[in-house]
Amino acid sequence: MMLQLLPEFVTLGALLILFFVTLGNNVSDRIARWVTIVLSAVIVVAAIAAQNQSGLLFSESYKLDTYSQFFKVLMAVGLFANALLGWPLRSVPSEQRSEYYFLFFAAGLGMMLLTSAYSFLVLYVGMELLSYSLYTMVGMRRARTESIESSVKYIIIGATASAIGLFGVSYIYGATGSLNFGDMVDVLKGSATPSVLLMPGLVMVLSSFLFKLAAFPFHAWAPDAYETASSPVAMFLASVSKLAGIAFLFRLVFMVKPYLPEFETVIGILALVTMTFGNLVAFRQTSVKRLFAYSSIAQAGYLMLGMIGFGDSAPVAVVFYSAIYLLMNLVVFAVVLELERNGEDPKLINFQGLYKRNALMAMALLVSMFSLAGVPPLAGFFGKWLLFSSAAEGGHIWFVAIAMLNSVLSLYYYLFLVKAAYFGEVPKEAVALDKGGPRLAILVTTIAIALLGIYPRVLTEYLSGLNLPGSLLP
Amino acid sequence: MSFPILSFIILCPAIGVLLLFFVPEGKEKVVRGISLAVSILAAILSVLMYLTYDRAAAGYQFVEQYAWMPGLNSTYHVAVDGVGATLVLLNAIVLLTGVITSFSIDFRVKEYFILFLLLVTGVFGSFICMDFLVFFIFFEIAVLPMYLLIGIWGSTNREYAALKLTIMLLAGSALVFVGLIMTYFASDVRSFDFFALRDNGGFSSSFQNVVYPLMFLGFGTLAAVFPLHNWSPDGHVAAPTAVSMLHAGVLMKLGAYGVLRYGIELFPMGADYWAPVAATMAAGGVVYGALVAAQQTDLKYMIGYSSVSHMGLVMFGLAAGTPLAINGAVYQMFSHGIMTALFFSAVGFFYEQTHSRNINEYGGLARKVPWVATCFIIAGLAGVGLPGLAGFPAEFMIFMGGYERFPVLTLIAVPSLVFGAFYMLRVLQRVFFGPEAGHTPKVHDVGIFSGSARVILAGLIILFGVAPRLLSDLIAPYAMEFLK
Repeated sequence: MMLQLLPEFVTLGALLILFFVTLGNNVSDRIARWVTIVLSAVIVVAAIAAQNQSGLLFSESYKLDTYSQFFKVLMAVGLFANALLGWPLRSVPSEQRSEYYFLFFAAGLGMMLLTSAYSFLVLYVGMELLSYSLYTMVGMRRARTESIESSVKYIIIGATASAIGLFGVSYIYGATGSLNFGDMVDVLKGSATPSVLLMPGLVMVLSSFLFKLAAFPFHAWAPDAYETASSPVAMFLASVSKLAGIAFLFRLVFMVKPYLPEFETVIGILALVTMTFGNLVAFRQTSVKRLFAYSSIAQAGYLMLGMIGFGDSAPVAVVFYSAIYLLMNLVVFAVVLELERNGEDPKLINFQGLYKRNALMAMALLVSMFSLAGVPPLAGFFGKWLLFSSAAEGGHIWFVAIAMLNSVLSLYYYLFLVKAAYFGEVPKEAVALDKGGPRLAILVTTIAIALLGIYPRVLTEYLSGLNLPGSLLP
Repeated sequence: MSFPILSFIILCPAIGVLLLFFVPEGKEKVVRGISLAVSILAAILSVLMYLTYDRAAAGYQFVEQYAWMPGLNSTYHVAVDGVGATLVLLNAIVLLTGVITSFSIDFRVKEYFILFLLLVTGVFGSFICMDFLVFFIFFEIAVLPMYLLIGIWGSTNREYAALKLTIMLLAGSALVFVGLIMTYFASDVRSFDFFALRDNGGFSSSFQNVVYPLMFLGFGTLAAVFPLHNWSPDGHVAAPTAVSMLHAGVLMKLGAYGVLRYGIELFPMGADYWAPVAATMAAGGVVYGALVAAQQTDLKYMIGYSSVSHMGLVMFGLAAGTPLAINGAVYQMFSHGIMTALFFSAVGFFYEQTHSRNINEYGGLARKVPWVATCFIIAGLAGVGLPGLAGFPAEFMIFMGGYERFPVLTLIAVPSLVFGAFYMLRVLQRVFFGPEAGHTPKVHDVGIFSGSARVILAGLIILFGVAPRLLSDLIAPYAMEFLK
């Protein structure tokens, strides 16, 4: 069992180490950061080592399968990248900075629990572990009241979502007599007409996850949180933390979808509303972090559309898109962080003439923008192709048509950034960009985005080999 | 296996792009040298391909196929038939003359040529690849660099034009993308291979009636079919000279090619069902483009709108769908490509020296710069369909073929040509003849090198006008297939 749960144990260990390291309050932020980088590298190794583990643990409430293990690898890589890129935490008071790294692993552990959760109780524990860490991280920028405000907003919406979710769980328990997913599916399979309680229960649980994904109508916390939180935190929110919501939600959807076609329609419609809302509101943003908050809302919509895709192709599509979603957002926020060195919030205007200040950054931005917009030959195109074709194969061609329209809409605001970076003049007050910084990491990630578009086989064939559909079914 | 000439044609500009990445800043001569070298190489290979294409055997030749995404049945499958060969040749010509014309670009030279060659790589790939998905990817590569090329190096209203162009073209692509997904899942073969889809797709007529409009409107946006032409004149005007050449010369043809290959050939019943609508839109474009062009005083706008009119003719030929009309439409793609490239090259030449494109600010240019003037006049006369120049056989075939199917629309479209001839002659008269006026004294001839681009293009207009068989030999066997 030690090996089976290796990534979780290592993350737990990292969390404890950081706890003791930072206990004295006199550890420099620099040391804590390096400890975090090393520990998250160890988590990557652990996640890869545990990749082929499978099994149902703890009275069938914790499931290890190729799906969960692959997501753990993704999360570990995401944690590592965040540890590497998400620095410096200038806007967080210095005595608190090391606490950030503690919360960082706490959130990491919560995310891992979510990928493997196979019972509503484990689900709840994982979700709260993740959420509480994030609430605190968002509120860490104490010097700004807005940061506190958005943290409070986040807590209130989050607590409401949890309450709704728990209430839904009680309905599901009432309908199936168990908190276990396997039992729930057995009940669904066995009866032609499932209990009337089941559908409302599922929708309530779904709602609490829409909150995690920042999907409509539970998105309201996201733009404020992204904008007012310290940028490394925003990066964390936009990249890895979202993976957890996707991983769990898709597992649930995939399991109940064959028996509840209405549920599929509900998610499809929510997906469309989410992406349309995200894209339309993103148009009017002048703060770049806010813009990306809306962009990531829209991206969650595309992913949700893929979730209701055809059974055999949807898992690969969702996992593939999750992987490139992670890469694209890492690049975007790495660029934002570089621009934010003077501690101010990046406005669109600071992107003006980025090309002249640093050609690599501008290039990275260009590639990730086009990729987010889903333009060939970049990874984003292929990812969208997998999501949309899967949805079309599942019989939702109209949803796909609307999603495509959204894709074109989104291009408009992504181009805004490209336009600023390439056509604009450098503003006078712009700070010089350091020669150092995570140039190599940005370059590698950017190349990965391009290569996964030209030769997606590397990843898709690997994912097909994992037999994700089989591993997801009970 | 024989020499993989088609892959090498795609590789020429692609390798150019890669090489340019490693040229240090400031070495502009090296950048230009590399670009010229790869485009000459691509042109030589394309001419070789054109000459060695077996006209007697016809059909698809120079086939290569490698697995790309086996899980999706998508392969890197390249081949050309008469249409493909014609358009590859056109692209190579415009590439070479465009690179020569681009030598006058004087800032951010390296990136300019990287994007320019990237765009051309996309165009070559789209004309050559016979796999729908791979085609679509190359198609997008051909469209996107335009945004930066216009936005950075353009002139009048460039940011607006670049944004409008990109959004409209991408909206068109979105339609194609939806059609692509539908096609894939509705086909019996679950493949992206063009031949598999065409021969064994098994698309029902009701499905074709739904998908064909997506293809027609999607690709038609790029072909500037009326009323989706809106991006095109603005784009032409804002773009730097060589980009206008590529844009009007080749990219718009790519749209028409898409309609022909992935619209009409894949969904013949759908195309037939929608033919009256398509033909009406096309004829509308012919008339509208000609009328608006006549109002313009900016030379680039005038050419931009007359391109809408000429592309309307291409689309009209395609919509009519008779062998003669198809033959004429493909011929028109080629001749119009060369003709507009020449137009834009000449206008760019004037604009660089005087920063004016206004017709009323010139006069008597023929005496001042006889070479450029002659080339421009040749293009102008080809544009109005003067016999002996490349435009004539094309328009003749389109109208002859079109009359069989849509006599009324043909009769509406033909007078616009007369009208076109009228305004073209008026422009030629005002700009090139008469007393020297306006900016004319400032214009002076430049070296042989940059003039060579225009001489090549003008020579080809005459060559393909005098000997239309050079091309129709390639196209006719393809067009005859439409008798079935």
